[in-house]
Amino acid sequence: MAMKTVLLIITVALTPCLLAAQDTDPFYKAFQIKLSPFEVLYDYYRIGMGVEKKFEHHAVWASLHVGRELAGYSTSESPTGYFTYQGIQAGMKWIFPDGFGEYFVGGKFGYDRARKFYEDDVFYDIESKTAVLYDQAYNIRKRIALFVDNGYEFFIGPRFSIEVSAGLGVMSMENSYEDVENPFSLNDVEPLNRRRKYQYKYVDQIWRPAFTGAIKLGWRL
Amino acid sequence: MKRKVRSLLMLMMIALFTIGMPSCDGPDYAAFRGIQIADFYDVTTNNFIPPPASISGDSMILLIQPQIDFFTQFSMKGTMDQVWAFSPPQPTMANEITDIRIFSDQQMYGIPAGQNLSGNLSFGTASNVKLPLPVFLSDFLKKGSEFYYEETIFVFFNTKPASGTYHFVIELEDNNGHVFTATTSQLTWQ
Repeated sequence: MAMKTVLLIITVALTPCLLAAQDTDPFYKAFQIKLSPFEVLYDYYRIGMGVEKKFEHHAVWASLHVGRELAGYSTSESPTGYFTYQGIQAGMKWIFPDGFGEYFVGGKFGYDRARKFYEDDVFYDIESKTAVLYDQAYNIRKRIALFVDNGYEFFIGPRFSIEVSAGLGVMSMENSYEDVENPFSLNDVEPLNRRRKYQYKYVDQIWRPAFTGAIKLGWRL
Repeated sequence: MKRKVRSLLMLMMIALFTIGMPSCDGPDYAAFRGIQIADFYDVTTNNFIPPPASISGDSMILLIQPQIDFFTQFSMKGTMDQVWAFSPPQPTMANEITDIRIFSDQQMYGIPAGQNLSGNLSFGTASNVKLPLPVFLSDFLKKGSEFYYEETIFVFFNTKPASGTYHFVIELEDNNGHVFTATTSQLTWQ
């Protein structure tokens, strides 16, 4: 109910802007700065900033993403809260303008690296069939993703835009550990059940299907 | 009819949110990772002997409590009869003790100070079970078996040694080559 109310308020508030947008020039050949405050795929709190260059029928874009722990922020995946995150994304899309904005479909590439602190935990080295208990360690997660996504960019006045997109693709995820304090190795021990929630405990590389969804705020230069 | 169905659904939702999904929590593995307690115990009084221990009879045993670490905690959801909260599956042992070595700083049973006494001692998991070391180790918690919370090791001095003051060093070795060491407090045999 609350979500519906928020959406209704946003729609009412944006209607004059959307109508005004019809009278502005099209965004062809525009150069935009885009802020990406939210993405479905990324489990770390992070923010992205990028640029997009539009042409008549297509656009290319790239963005950098950074994240860091917030005071009091913790989840079951990040019990100690401490992490650093860096990522890069780039893509190309075909655009189909209409009166209010433009529909787009395209491809997206993403790479990110997260470093997260854990205490009193374990990781499994899948290749050597070893479990390592430790007092403190840093988990390094590297991901490469390829997506096909589509979405819609609403123009709000001559400068602003809001972009909503979603897509499907594949992702390679690689986990490793560094600065392991007081390691205790147990040979010939494998995870009894591999659980997606504990993916950070498995030192190996996997490919898996993935989906993405993002909201971006654009500013036309 | 629609209202009945809706009421029933509401009731089910309320029950689900109130009781929650049946689940049980537990670790995947248990592993020996050290020695938590290495102390003297009097089997006649069933009490630990506070340091500095002093005893005249032969009712004293050495009690070793290994430190057990549990890891990969999980929460398993399912139907009520499968995973009710009171019966989580037992963790699996990830390592096992392959040798127990006990050293004294005094000559004991004719064995010079600093040499392993284990061959002259008996071992058990209860005060009424006395086994030679190889038999005890073959019955003790093995890698891959279920952890069953009877990990305390009772070490029996079969006969009273010569009067004197002793210190003992205990070493437990696991199948990965880890050696867990503990030193007892002083013991005076009168």
